[in-house]
Amino acid sequence: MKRWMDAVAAGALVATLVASVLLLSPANGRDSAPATARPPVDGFAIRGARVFDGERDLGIATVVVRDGRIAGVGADLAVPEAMAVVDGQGRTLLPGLIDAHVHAWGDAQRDAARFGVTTAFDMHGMPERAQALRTQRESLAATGQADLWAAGYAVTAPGGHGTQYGFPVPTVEADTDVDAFIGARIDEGADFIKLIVEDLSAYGTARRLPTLSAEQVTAAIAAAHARERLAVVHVSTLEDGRHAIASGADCLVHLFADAEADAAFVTAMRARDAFVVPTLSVLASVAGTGDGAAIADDAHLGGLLTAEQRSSLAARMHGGAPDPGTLARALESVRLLHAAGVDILAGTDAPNPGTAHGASLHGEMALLVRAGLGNAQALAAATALPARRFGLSDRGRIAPGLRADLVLVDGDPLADITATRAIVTVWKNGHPVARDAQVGTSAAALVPAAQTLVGDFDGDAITAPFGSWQPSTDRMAGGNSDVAHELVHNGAQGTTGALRIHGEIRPGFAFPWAGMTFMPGTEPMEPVDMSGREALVFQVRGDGRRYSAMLFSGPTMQGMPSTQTFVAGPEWTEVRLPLADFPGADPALLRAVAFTAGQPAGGFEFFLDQVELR
Amino acid sequence: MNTIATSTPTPVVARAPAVRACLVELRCELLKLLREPAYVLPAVLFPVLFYLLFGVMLSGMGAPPAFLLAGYGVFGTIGATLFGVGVGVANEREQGLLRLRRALPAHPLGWLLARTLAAMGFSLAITALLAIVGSTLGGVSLPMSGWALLFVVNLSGVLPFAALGFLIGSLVGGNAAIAVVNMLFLPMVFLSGLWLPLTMLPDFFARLAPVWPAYHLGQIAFKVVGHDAGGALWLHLLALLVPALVFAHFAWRRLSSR
Repeated sequence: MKRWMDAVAAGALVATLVASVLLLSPANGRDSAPATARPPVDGFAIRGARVFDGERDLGIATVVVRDGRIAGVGADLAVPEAMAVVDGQGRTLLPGLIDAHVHAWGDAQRDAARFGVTTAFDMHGMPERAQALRTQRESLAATGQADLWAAGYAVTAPGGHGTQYGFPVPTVEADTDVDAFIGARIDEGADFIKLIVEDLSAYGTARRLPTLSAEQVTAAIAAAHARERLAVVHVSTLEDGRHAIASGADCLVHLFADAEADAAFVTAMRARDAFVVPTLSVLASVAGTGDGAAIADDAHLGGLLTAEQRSSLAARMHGGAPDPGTLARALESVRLLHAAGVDILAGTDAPNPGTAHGASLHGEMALLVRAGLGNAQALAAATALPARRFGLSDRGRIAPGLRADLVLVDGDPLADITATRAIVTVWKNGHPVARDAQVGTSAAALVPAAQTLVGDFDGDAITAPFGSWQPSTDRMAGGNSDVAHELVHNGAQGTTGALRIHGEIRPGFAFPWAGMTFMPGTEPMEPVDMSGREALVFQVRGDGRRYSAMLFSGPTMQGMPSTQTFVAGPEWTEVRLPLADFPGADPALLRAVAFTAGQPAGGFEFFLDQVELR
Repeated sequence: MNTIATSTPTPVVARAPAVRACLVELRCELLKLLREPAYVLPAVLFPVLFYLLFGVMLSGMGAPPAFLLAGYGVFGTIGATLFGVGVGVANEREQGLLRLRRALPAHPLGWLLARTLAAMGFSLAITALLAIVGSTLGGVSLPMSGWALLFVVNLSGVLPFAALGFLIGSLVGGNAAIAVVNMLFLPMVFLSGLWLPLTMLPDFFARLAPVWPAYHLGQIAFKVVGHDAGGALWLHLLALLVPALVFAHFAWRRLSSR
């Protein structure tokens, strides 16, 4: 009896040990076919960076992003072991920047996002896109574009400022029912109401423009408020500003250029809890101080500018002799308003002469610091404050549940505001934003998401619907390895053809390699945005060697490739390599995918088919 | 002819109340251990010192602080249990105390229970010290439920290793037990990924890690801090329970057969 129990006990122990190893071995996923590897943990974490949450400095903290939203912020947040981690040491993480005054058309949204501006307020434009903008800003999909809130048509007089841009603008005439007019704007989808009070009298020229009367301004503001919309007003003189605020305007979207704010104006702003977007960038352009050109020359910003942005920054608003007084008065007004506790929001008025989308907001923050804001206050003016004042509840801060619009910069903008320009990565909706000025404009970047197959090898030549295939060996790095390739019959799953890749790995280079490379761009190693793709999937068979799939990506061609391995056995096998499992790779800037043999030295042969980026 | 014994009443074996006996045993066991600072101090302080070295001072090595905190808690628990129970039982058996105990009216389980509870006391002290160091110097922040779960995992983790300790103590003498426990304990905790993540070890060792009970207790603790390798909890519990029962079975057989 006792012997029988001993045998059962010993058997149970052995069975448990064997089952444990078979069922629970942590190395199972690592070394077996990658197709069966553990699915990647969704999301990523940024660790070791100083975090400015939009309002205050949280010190060094970890931020976890999942499903496009910020999942957690904390000094020592646990990060799941398999989650990708972005090293933030020596860097500062900011909320995605918000430009509170732009005019967006063309590539504006892409230009803005490239420089970390993930949200902007459009102050005058056609309303037809209102629904599309709304859909876009509610989506958490990967995008390289800033979200927009828009006024639609600004409210102006016949022939007044805002009517000169080549698109028909409905205007307020002497007998217009202002209330109904504002209602029509809101019905068109206006997120807020923008009024233009501008007769050009502030600029010392004889030319005058027709503009809204004081009564119309008052009526329009009241109509906006009756429909629970903010009323923001373009003014260029202190008197117009005074009247707008007295009429209940929520915000002035420029500071006046003709005078410094006086005590009465400051008191009125404070008393009505109004806020101001001074647009110092465009006032600097009016003043001719060369701030725009300085942005173009900035080492960090200059390289990311398109030719159009460059020429816009070099230009000047209004022309004439430089009048530094315009900027000096505005700086002094900001100083007084800020000291009195009036909320100051960062806005650039891009793409007016002297400004450029995205880039100029970094200059605007520096100008705000010049006007007496602390660095943290200037950062808040471009993040948490505009979100709060315009009622955007899902962004502007780094806090759990908010949209993962984030900017990681080198250095510490709380110590030096120009550090915001040294951008390392911009995330929009939790996805990295391609930051090359050309990305998004090249043909390859417009690859439809449905086009996943990049190599079926069924024709007479090696073609791909986009990009190209090239042999690649270590000879380009001074090695001696060789590779040859040809199309052969009988592909995987009964397809017509496959790609045979064979050659020899020879010593002579530290990391010898030879194989075939797929480059998705129209030019060799040109980056293409593949951030929407999840995995590299292909069929392979071969001599049983272990091969590497190498991803070349990132802002420069010199970056180290990120590698995963697979085995090419005698039978066709599907290999699925999640892009997220390529450590450090940036699919938003994908330059090449290489299938290569490496160590040990010797001959190799493998066959590829049905290569997909899906 | 011998008639003397026939009239004597059969002696009744009277046992002391079980709970009280256990408490007395526990008090004696703790007193005995506390009088051996050469045992107490290393058992309690080593895990904390190791954690300070690898988890705090060399924290740049890549292992997350919470991972190391959980790992060293399990490491300390297993060490205190194997040395306390294994070496203790072996010594007492060698000194003939076991035979004496059999003659005593105390319930035999009381003696085992007291040793197990003493090991839990050590585990409690180690886990508490690690929690203090981890939350202050190590910068580990867990929700209250996380800290509580770590205590629960370590305290219940004493049970399977107490069973292993009894088995060792039942098999070898006092001096040999020290050697056997050392030979088993150090490689086991290392190869179970309690000091360093298994990803830093060669694949072969990582693959074999689940044969060690320490691996399963470690994985349960790592689950608490979100750094486990992804196996199901019930599988780890089963992989601890079965060996514990088997070790206890054989230990009981050995101890009760002499």
